[in-house]
Amino acid sequence: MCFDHIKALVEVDLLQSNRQMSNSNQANKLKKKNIYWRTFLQNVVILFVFVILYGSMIFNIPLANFPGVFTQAISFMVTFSILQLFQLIFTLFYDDTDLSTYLAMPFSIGELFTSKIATVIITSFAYFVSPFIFIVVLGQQTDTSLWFFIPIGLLSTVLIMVATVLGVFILLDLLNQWAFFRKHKKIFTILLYILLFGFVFYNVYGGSMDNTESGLNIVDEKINPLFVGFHQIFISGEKLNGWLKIGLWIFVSGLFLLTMLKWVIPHLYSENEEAPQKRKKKKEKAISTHLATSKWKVFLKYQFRQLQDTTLILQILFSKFYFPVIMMGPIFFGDLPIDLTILKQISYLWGAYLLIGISLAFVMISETSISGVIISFDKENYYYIQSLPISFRGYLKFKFYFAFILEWGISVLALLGVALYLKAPFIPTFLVLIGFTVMTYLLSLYYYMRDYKLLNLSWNNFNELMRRGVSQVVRILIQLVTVVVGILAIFGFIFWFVFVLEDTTRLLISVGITIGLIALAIGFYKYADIKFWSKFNE
Amino acid sequence: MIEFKEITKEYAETTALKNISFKIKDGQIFGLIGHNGAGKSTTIKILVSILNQTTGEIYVDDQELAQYRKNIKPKIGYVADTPDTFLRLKANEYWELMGTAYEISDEQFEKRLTYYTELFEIDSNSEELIESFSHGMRQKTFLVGALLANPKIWVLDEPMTGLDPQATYDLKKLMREHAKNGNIVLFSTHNLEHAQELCDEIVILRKGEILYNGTIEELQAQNKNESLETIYLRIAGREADQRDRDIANHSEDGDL
Repeated sequence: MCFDHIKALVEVDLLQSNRQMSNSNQANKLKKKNIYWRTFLQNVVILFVFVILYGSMIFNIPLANFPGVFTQAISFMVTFSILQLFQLIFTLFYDDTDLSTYLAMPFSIGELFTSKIATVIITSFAYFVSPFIFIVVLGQQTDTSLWFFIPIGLLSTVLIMVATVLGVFILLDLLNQWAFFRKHKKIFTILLYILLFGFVFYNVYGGSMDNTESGLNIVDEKINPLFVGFHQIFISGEKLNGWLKIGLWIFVSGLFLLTMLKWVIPHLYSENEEAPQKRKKKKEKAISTHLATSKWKVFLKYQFRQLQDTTLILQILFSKFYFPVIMMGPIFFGDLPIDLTILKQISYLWGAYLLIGISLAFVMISETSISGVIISFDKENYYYIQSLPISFRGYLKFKFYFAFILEWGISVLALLGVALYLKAPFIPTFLVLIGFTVMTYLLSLYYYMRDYKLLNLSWNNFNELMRRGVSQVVRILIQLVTVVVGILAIFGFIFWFVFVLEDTTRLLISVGITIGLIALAIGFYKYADIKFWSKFNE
Repeated sequence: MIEFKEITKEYAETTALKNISFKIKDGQIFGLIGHNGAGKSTTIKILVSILNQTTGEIYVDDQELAQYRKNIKPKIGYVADTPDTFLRLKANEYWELMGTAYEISDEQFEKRLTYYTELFEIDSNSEELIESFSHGMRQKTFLVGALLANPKIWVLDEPMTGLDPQATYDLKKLMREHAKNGNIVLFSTHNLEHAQELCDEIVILRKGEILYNGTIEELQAQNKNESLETIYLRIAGREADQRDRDIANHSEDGDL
C-alpha cells in the first residue's frame, strides 16, 4: 500500500464531504491545506455541545457513586456516534457515486478501504473523546494513579471506538446484502434513527430511584450494562467484574475484526453496479383524450415526492419530536408532579396560553423546516414551471400552503400527544394551538420568503440548504439557544401569569397579547402581499 | 494487445454480454458501436475493473487482468460516459489526484497539465468546482485527467459527447497520434461518422452479442458498399428488431 495514495484519497473524501455541507462561497474557500483544520474545528464543535450538555455533571457529580450517570452519558455519546457512523459509512462505502471511477484508477482495494476508514475516524473521533473525558474524571475522583487512568482511558476509548465502528460496518454490510434495503435505504435510515432516538429517550428518562446521595438529592440514572465495566474497574470490590466485562468487549471486538477481514472486506468492492432492469412489456392502453387529473393534484404528488429526502425527514423528526422532547422531557416525563388542574382556578390565563403556543412555534419552526427549503427543492424545475401556462404566483402559493399545512399538521400531532399525556384541559390546549397556528403561519411565511431570497437550485445534498446564510457553528448555537429560551419562556410565562399578576392585570395583558397577535398576523400578511407575492406573475 | 476471451456478464434477470471475443492490436483505434443497452459500457467497465465478468478472461499484453490487475491498471486511462464524479473537487484537485494515482513525476505532471489544459482551453477554470461546469467542460476535465499519465491504453466511453467542434477535432488528432505511436485507443460511440473516420477496426454489439468484428472497409465490401449507417441500421436497428419479432411470432405459430 502506498501512503501517498491513501493520503490523497483521504483529502479528496474530506474535501468533498465538507463542501457538500457548505454553500458555494464556503466551498471555494476550502482547500487541501485547511481541510484538516476545518475537520478538527467540526470535532471541537461536537465536543463543545458535549460540554454544554454534560459540563456541570462531569465536575460536580462524584461519578464513582453514580454508575448510572456515568454509563448513560457514555451511551448517549456512543448512540450519537452510531447515527453519524451509519450515515458516514454508508455514504463512503456503499453509496459513493465516485466508487466506479476510483476502481478504474490504479488504487488497490486496500488503499481505498484504508483511506475511507481513516476518513471515518478523522470525522467522528470527537464522539469518542467524551468517554475518555468521563473515564479520566472518574479516575481522578477515585484517587487512582495518573499512570493508570490516562492509559486506561485511552485504551477504553479505542476499544469502544473500534467496537462501534466495526459493529456499524457489519450491520450495514448485512443490510446491504438485502435487495429490499438497497431499494428502500432511506426508510431504513429513518427507522434506525427513530429506534436510536427511542433508545436514548428510554435510557435518559427511564431513571431509577437508587443511589440517592444524601444531602445532594441527586438521583442516579439507570445503569447501562454495556458500559458499566469501564466504571467498575475504578471501584474497589468491583474491579474484577469490571475487567471481565472489558474482556468481553475485547472478545467481541476481535470477533467483529475477524468478520470484517474474512467476510466484509473481501466482497466490499466486488460488485458495485446494480443490474440493468429488465424492460417489462407494457400493456398497450388506449390513449385517453380527456385529462382526468387536475394540474394541482399532479403538483401535490410532485411536492410530496420532493420531500422524500432522508436528511429533511430526519430534520423534521428532530425538530418536532426529539429536540423539544429531550429538552422538555425532564419536566414532563420525569418524577416531578405536574398538576394542571390548578390552572382552572386562575382566570384570564388565555394570554399565557397564546404565548406558550407562540413560543412552541419558535421552538419547532426554523429555517430548515419544510417551508424554509421547499422552493429550492424544485431545482431546475423552478425555471421550467415558469414557462408553463399556469400562474407562477398561484404555484408558489400552492407550494407555501402545502409546506405550511404539512409542517403544522406534524407539529400539532406532536403537541396533541403531549397534551393527551398531561391530560391537559381542552380550552387551554385549544388556545395554545391557536397561538401556535398563527405564529407557525407567520414563521413559515418568513422562512419561505427567506428560501426565495437565498435560492439555491443547484444543491446536491440537503445539508447545503441547511447551511445557507450562517455558518454551521452559528446555526447550531442559534438552534440551541432558541430551543432553550423557548422552553424557558413557556415556564416563565406560566409562572408570571399564575404567581405574579393580579386578575385585572392578567386580563389587560391577555387582551394586549391577543390584539398584538392579530395585528402582527394581519401586518405581516399584508407585508408579504406587497413585498413578496407581487413579484411573481399572475 | 488486449484480448477479450469468451466474456459473459450475467445479472439476476438479464445477460448483458453473451460470450464475446475479440482482439485489439497495438497501434489500433478500436470502436465499440451499438444501441443504448447493447453492452458497450459493460464491456468497457469490465476492462477497467469497475465490473467483473461472470465467465471468460481478458488479457492485456498477455497478462490476465484478474491476476495482474495491479500491473495493468496503471497502463489504462479511462474516461466514463457520464462525467458526474468528483463534483465537489476543483478541476486542479482532480488532476492532482490523478497525478498521485498514476505516480507521475512533478515535472511531467506540470508539463502535460499545461499542454492539455491549454489545448482544451480549460486552463482558466482550474480553480472552479467541477459541479459548476457544463457537460462539455466536465468531459474535458476528465479527458485531461486521463491523458496526464500518458497511459498506453486509452479507454474512452462516448468521449465526444458534449465537446465543442474544436475540442472534438483536437481529441481525434490526439487519438490518431496515440495509436500511431504504437498504443491502443478503445472508444465507444453512437456517432457512426466518427467511427468511420477514426477506427481501424470495430465491433458492433447488439443485445450483448457481437454482430460484426472487423474493419469498416470489409463490412462495406460485404454489403454492396453501402454506408456504415445503412448497414448498421439494417443489422442492429429497427429492421433487426422487426425481424426478431417476426421470427418469434413464427415460432409461436409453429408451436401451435
